[in-house]
Amino acid sequence: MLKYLRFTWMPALIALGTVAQFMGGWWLWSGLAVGIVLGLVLDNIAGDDLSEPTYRYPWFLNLCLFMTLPLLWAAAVGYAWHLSSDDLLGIGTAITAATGYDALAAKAATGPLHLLGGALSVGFVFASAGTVIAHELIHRTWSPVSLITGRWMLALTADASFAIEHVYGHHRNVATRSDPATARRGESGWHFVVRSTVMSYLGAWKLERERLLRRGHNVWSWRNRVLRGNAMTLLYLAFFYWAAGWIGALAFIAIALYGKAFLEFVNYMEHYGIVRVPGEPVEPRHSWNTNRRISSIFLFNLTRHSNHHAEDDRPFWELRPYPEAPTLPYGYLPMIVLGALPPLWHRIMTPKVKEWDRLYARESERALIREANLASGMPAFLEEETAHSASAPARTAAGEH
Amino acid sequence: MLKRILGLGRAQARTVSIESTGLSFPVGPGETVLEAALRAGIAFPNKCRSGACGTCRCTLREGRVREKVDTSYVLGADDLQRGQILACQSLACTDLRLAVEGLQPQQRIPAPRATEGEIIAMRPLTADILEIRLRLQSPMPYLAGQYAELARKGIPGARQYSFARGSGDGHAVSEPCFFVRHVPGGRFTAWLHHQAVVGDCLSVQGPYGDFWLRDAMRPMLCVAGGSGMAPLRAMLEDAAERQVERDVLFCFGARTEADLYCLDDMKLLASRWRGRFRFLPVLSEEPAESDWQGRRGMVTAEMMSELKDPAGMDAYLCGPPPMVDDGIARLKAAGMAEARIRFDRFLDASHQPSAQAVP
Ligand SMILES: Cc1cc2nc3c(=O)[nH]c(=O)nc-3n(C[C@H](O)[C@H](O)[C@H](O)COP(=O)(O)OP(=O)(O)OC[C@H]3O[C@@H](n4cnc5c(N)ncnc54)[C@H](O)[C@@H]3O)c2cc1C
Repeated sequence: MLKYLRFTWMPALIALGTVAQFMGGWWLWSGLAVGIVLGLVLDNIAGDDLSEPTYRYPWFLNLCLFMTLPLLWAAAVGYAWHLSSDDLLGIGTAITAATGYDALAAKAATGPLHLLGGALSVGFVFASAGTVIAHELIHRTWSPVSLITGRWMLALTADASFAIEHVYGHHRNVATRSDPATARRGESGWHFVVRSTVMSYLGAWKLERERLLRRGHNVWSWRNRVLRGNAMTLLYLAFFYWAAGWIGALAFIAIALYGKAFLEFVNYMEHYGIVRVPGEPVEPRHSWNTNRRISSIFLFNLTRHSNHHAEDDRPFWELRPYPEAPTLPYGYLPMIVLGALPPLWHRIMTPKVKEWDRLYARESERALIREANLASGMPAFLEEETAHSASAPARTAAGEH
Repeated sequence: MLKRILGLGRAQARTVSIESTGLSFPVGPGETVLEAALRAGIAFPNKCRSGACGTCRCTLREGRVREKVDTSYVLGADDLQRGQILACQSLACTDLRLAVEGLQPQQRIPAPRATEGEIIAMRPLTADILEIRLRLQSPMPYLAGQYAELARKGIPGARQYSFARGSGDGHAVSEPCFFVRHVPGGRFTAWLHHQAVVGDCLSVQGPYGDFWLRDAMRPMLCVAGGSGMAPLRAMLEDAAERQVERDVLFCFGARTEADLYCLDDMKLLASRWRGRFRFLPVLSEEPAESDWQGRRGMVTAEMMSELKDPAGMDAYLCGPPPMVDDGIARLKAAGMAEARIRFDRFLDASHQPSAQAVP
């Protein structure tokens, strides 16, 4: 029973957060606050989850995924209601009629500082629930319902084309130079966020263009899934504009970009510094894994990333923990924070990457490691190369591993 | 069309045959060609199984399929023209004939040969196990799990040693490695451990033996003691390279913590392995007061408590004859069929000569 419950936490909290949002005032900060308590505090003390339960009723887990889309919509509408100058869609009146609680008074008591918290909370939810669950769904390429649900979630962070680039680009090219979503040694989180965002979008466009040409279709047509994805985001934008004018539109753009940045910081940590020879198989050691309990429960085992990349078609509840895989020092939210603080990130991750070179790299990857170290522009990686060339001849013992 | 709507004729299984391999297998309704091939134990190349990586691409020579995704993200215009499909997304509408690249008809067993080898490196792994690396005059192909016979001028007879590293599935290897345990009172191993130096020459014959990995989808149990690590490491290394996806439980018996070795290799294997990979060291003579957190006892006894369904597994055992024999007895008692148990006993002159005839 508990094993089913663990994946209902996320949708349950989104629902609660939406209710809290209607209570106005400082309640608008609650989404972010709860996220910080769970992700930064509890995650650090709740230990690891290595369990591998089997599920007899996977439909229930799928329900948790699919029902998140309407919940995210509710959160978005709730926020737009706060931004709007009047009682958008009569929501406030309806709440008062149904519960007796004076929602319009709550709305009136909500000032700019509260609205800032609301944006940070809603964007946080778009990222932590929306992009993560969408990621799970868009891997089910054979299921049109999953794909379209996932893409509507991604459109909230202006990223429906992720469904193309991630599956057909990132998963094939992961840990190589040609993957925009693999962070390079020495690259700062902020540089990566911009590079990955731009290059991933262009990558999706290229893949889509080629697909259409191969099928003999026009690139500029309704069949183009990148264009359709853009249209989905524009629709959300139009809704916010309709609800709250320019303020609304600007708020949506800010929330979408902020949510998208989370996704990119997640990309940043997931393969930072790892190399792979193009064409060689993707193995569990080509991802940074973590089994932190809170991260795993709330992010639907995205944390079991080593298994995810080695076996792309596994649904999240079948992913295995791989305690032997290269492991991140902390859970997801702490790593995101570190990613945004480059000096700290490098202090912690440079030794981890060197450990990867020592324990997990194969002979065929040595040349790439050397290249990556030389290109890093970071003394800590460069020194590895000068030290190596001096000791290389001595390493011809029986077991050069 | 009407037939399809009414679901008539859907329950019918189709047959898929793979050109110039002699392989064929049934595919059930709703099942993809890849799923059916894997179920039949065929090592069909595959990776993502979501129609994204293109590893399972093959050419449809005859028949008709329905594909669950748009394959044109992956297959180029020429490929589509040539009738390429992705096996992981194809449902069979008729019987099919496919051409699949990279699928070998059957593993070839390399013929034994004789050559000379120079010791180019020696490295102690534990107090009594030495890793040696030879440079062969003519490279020797072998299947991981097989062994070679080494002989030294002046010491009568040849000794068998299992190749300790993979060969990339039967490729010729010019610098093979072996793990050699010092056998008290043993002539060859005494020489190797105490007198041999880099540059010494040995005569090498091989490969021999039939202890190699059999294709199947069942989970694997590997059991080794002491230098019995060698052939299993070789086997698992090659299997990892081939992207074998079976679950593995590798139980390794040693006396004390100091007798454990290859731990980094096991960690690396686990981080490369596509299925579940568990390495379980078991110590038989670790002092009770030591801070060893892992298992204690006889490896063959300890492994039994880890097996959920022995009858559904394949076992590979290797090492000292008493350990191997005890393991086999226990597995049989737990319902494992004899044909599922493969083993190599590391026999030496102290064991019965009659037993030595069958390695
Ligand atoms: C298929 C196979 C694979 C093997 N793979 C490996 C491997 O990978 N690694 C490894 O370390 N070993 C392996 N072995 C064992 C190896 O081949 C040798 O048998 C072992 O190394 C002992 O060699 P030795 O020359 O040192 O001992 P030997 O001189 O052959 O003596 C072995 C033992 O027998 C005793 N003995 C000698 N003569 C007699 C006699 N007439 N009567 C009774 N006792 C006698 C000795 O005192 C000694 O204790 C394998 C064996 C087989 C069959």
